[in-house]
Parts: sequence; C-alpha cells; structure tokens
Amino acid sequence: MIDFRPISFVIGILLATLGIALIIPTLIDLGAGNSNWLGFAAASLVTLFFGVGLGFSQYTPNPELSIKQAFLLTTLAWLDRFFSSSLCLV
Amino acid sequence: MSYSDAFFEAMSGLTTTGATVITGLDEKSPGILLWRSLLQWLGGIGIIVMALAVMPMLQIGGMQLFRTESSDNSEKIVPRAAQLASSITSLYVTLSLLCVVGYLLAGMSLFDAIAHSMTTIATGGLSTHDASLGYFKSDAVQYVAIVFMILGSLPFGLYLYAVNGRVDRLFKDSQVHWFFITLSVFIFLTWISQFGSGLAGNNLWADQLRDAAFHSVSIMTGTGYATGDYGQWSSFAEVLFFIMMFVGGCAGSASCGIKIFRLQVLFQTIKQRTFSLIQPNGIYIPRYSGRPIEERVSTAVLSFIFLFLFCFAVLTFLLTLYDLDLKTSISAAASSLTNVGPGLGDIVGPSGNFQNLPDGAKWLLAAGMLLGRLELFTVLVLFIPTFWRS
Repeated sequence: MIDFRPISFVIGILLATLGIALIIPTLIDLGAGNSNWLGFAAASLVTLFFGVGLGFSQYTPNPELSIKQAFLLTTLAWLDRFFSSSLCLV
Repeated sequence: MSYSDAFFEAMSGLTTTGATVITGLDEKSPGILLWRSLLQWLGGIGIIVMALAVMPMLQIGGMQLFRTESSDNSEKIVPRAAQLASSITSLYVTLSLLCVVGYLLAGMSLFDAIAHSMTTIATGGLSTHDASLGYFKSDAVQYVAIVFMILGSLPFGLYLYAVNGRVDRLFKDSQVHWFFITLSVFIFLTWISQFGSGLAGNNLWADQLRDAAFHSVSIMTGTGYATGDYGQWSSFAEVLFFIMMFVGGCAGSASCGIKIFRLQVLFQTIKQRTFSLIQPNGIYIPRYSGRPIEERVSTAVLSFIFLFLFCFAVLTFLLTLYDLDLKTSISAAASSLTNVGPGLGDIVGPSGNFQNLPDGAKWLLAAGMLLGRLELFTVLVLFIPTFWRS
C-alpha cells in the first residue's frame, strides 16, 4: 500500500501557501471597499485550516518519496489546489 | 458564479491556460482580478519547479534528457524541489518585477501592470480587461509582452546557470536555438497570412509584422493574449495558429504544449529511420545537443506525442457530443490540452468567451488542461491498476 503520510505533508504545506496567498486579494478588496473580501477571507481560512492541519498531523521529517508516491503527489497537489482556489470564486 | 464556472476558472488559472468564463472583467472587483493573476503566477512557478525537479525523475515523455545535466543523480525529490523552488522563486520574482517596470513604462496603471506581469511571465494570458491587451491600444505594451512571454518560455534551468556566470549556456542551448528558429518561421508565415486580408487600420507592413509577432509569440508560448480576433485574418492564419498551439515553448519553462525538445527528438528519430531505409547497414546516431539520444528517450518522446494527439482526438470527439461545431470542438480541445487559452471561431475564439459552453464541456476542458499541464502520463498512471498494488 502506498504510504500517504509524506504526500499529505507536502500537500499541507502547498495548501497553507495558497491560504497565505489568498490574504492578498482579501486585503485589496477590503481596501477597495468591495464586499468580495468576505469570500476571499473565508476561502483563505478554510485553505489555511486544512493546510496547516494536514501539515502538522502528517508531519514527516525529511520526507522521501518513491516513484509511485511522486506520481500521486504531483497529481493530487494540483487537484487540491484547483478545488480550494475555486472556493473563493463561487 | 456556478461551481462549474469557478472550477473552470481556477483550473484555467493554475494551469496557466488563460481561458475565461467571466465576462465584464473591467467592472470586476480588483481582488478577483488580482486573484486570477496570482493563480497563474503560482501555477507558473509550480510548473517550473515540477518540470525541473520532479519530471526528470519520473522520466516522463523523455524528460530524463534533462536529468544528468542538472542533478547529482540523487533520487531525493522533495529536498531537491524545495532547494530549486527557492532559487527559482527569486529569479521568477525578479523577472516579474522587470516586467512590471516594462508595462509601467509602456503606460499601464500600476494595478494593470502587476496583474499582467504575473500572467505574462507565467505564459498564462488572463487579463484584467475583456479586450485582453487590445484594451491598451499600445504598441509598447505589445513589445513588452513579446519580450517577457519569450523569457517565460525559455528553460529556467539555464537562467540558473546564467545567474551563476554561465550565460554562454543560454546561447549555446540547441533547444533555445530551435525555439527561436521555429518562432521566426511562424512569425514570418503569419505576417504573410495577413496580406490581402485588408484589415482596417492595420495596413502598414510594420504594424502587421508587430501584430504577427505578438500573436505568434502569444499562441506558441501558450500565453493566449490577443489584441484582436486573429481568426479573421485569413483561413491560412487560422490553420497556422492552430498548429502553433501544439508546438509550445522549451522544456523547464512555464510554457506548455508538446515542447521544442520533443520535436527535435522526433525529427532526429525520423531522420534516422529514413536514413536506415536507404542504407540498412549504415549507422546513424540521432543526437540532441551533441549527445546521442538513447533509444528509451526517443521511445518516450514518440509515445508522448502519440498520446498527446490521441487525447486531443478523444477530447474533440467528446466535445462534439455536446453539439458544438467542429471548429469550436477541435480548437477548444487543442487549446485546453496545450494550455493556450483562446481557440478559434466565434464561441471560444479570442473575441468569444467560454461562458457559453455547456457545463459538461467545461469540465471536459478542465480535465484536458490538467492532463496537458501534467504531461499526460503523470495523471494517466494513476488509472493503471498495477499502480495501486504493492
């Protein structure tokens, strides 16, 4: 069975980065007095929550990947970012 | 916005495709506009790090060609990716800042300059205006875009060498040479293709040349900016742009498509096969950058190109099931697989909008973008039962 721990750990880090990136449009819309900032803020919180949660719970020191894990990680890392980054656009 | 639309937009953003379902961009909130650009920017750097650190290890579509060159043969993917990510990020940020300055000098507002620089360097192509770069009606903007779209589709691994004082490698790289040769041929052809079309207000040969260069670079690198509907030029131009979509930029950059080095390997292999037809006992060794191409690499490249065209055919077929016309289905399928953005025709062309497509078609196109972006095999291996057996 493929070990998911290092995969989830890396995905957690990537999600957290995205959550932090989401703060930028939040601030900009807040500054422009646009009501969209709530959507961005919510999406940022959700993404950060899952990102940090995954990162800490699946923490693996010196993660090392087999070929199979690398394949899975690459695809998943992109897929999860699609879902979370589309949150704020709904 | 419906969830289908939001997903399509995010997919189009992160894969640096640049197809949009949003109309009325000019009135959208600055946050949304910036977020779309930011998505492409993050997607762009994600793809560069992936192409440099992960793909060569996974040996996808002949990417192992770039393995020996820049790695210490270690199989450690994560530390290498992390280390590459930091050096690439500073490079990427520098290029983006230069692009911002360029756009500012060309007369854009600060916000537009930042938003467009992010999508230019990532060869993404999302804009903050419905009319894309055509909104600015500025030659200077087109020139800046041309320069930075090209910079975004050269191999970033060579930039790293250049920063370390090995600038010569950037000029000696055969992939870079062929990128510029192919690009020049396409620019020349699209330039000719405008002759006799009598487009209003664009009759000077210099203007036509600039337009040809801008749109050729934009389509070949997979960016997808437009300053007008190039589909109207002539049917010759339409076919040219369609072919250009598949070519793409160099491997190890933010651009997409089949990529130059695969075409080089393809031609070398074909040359070898033809040669051995006339002289069955002769020995001809296909070479890439002076080094012989391993049999494994050429097989990987050939199967990649075959699979790419196969996916394109299947995607086109599935799109026609949604009752889309042939031009729309074919060009939308190609444009999503190659992460270009706009296709051809009234619906998905540069003056159209993906908004009008049925939801099912949007999901199909989104899947195509992911497949194309991750170089097909990365996704497809997950569907092989053996993958999941230990």
